[in-house]
Amino acid sequence: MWRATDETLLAGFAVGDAGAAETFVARFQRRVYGVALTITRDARLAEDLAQEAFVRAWRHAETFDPRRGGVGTWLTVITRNLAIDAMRTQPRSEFVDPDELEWLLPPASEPDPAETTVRSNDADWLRRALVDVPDEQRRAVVLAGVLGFTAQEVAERERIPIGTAKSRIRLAMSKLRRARAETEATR
Amino acid sequence: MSATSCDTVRESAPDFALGALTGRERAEVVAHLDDCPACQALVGEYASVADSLLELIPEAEPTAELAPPVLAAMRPSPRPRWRHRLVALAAAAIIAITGATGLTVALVTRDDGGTSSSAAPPLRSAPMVGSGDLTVGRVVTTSNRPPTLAVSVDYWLPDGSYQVAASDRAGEAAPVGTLDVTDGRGTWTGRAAQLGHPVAVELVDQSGHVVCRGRLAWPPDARSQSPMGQSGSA
Repeated sequence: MWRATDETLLAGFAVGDAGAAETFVARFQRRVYGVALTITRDARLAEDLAQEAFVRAWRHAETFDPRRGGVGTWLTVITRNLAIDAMRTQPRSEFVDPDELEWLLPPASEPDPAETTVRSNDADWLRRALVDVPDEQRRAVVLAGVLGFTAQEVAERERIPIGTAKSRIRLAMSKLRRARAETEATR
Repeated sequence: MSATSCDTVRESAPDFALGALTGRERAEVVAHLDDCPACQALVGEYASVADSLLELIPEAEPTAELAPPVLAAMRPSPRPRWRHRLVALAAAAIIAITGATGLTVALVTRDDGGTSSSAAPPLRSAPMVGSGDLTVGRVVTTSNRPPTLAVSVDYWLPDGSYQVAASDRAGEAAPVGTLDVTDGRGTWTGRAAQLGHPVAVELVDQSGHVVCRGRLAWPPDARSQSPMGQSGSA
């Protein structure tokens, strides 16, 4: 079962195959929990959200579309949305400051494969591209893209006009989009 | 076509992809995207970038295994005993009326096509329908090559072993595995080696009778009949 593709496991999971479900959860639980924990910073809540993310994946497996990314990406988006919903009751000031997210910082050296907790090389282009994104733009993108802030909330959090918040988001995203296109072109 | 221009949507595309727009702004973009493939493509590129941000988040080890509570949530809630009895009586009556040889006539009178989107979804599903139009389970298949079939039943079928048979649109049918039902439930996951996209999946009992069937609808472009490797698991 461990050799099964992610999509095959998802199909088995979708119909309630216990073996497929156990393998599916085991394969992705660290990733799902990592997203929930990063956003909520509450281990117990993160575990509850991770469980809920898997249950939602089971219920809505037919919404998975491989043209938009892999199963893991789909799961992390589900988890992120659940975590953001859970945090909506909290003041925005309670959210983690993007500057505290060490994983956003450019690597000081080549990552040690034995120590790295990042899953694949698929996002390496993004890590490299973020090096060239100014801090204030990176903060705006993370607040919006990871922590679920609207542009207005980014503006309030950063104490800047909303036009400035939007500009930061758009400039950063434009750079990242170009970097992604260049990476795709060289593959 | 919506009142929002392409220029406006292109400007908002990064915010849209990140989910940073207000509800009204988002609705305007969505309305425009319905009619504009070019802006759809641009938003898709930004959405891929936004999704990639989550790829950077480091993994973490939960303190407890997540599988047990997930599996518990997947179990159907117990049905009232009166419903079991009612269904059993109805099934007995249907069997008595149709007789063993006429059983298959009553099969497959419903097909919901089981899709979430009109655009070639990766997974397709259909109810497994038994005698008396009774839904006894579900079949799901993937659109990859070779496709995986997953069948589950959780209602009405007597305990025992059932042959899983699949057929494609060319009419070819083949046994692909065995599904064991215990305490009224059973699952099987595997692949149909000799067939193209499966359009019907049946469970056949020890007497050779088809006890339920699922019909899978495929879009017109899914017509490959390529040979497939075989694997399966109970």
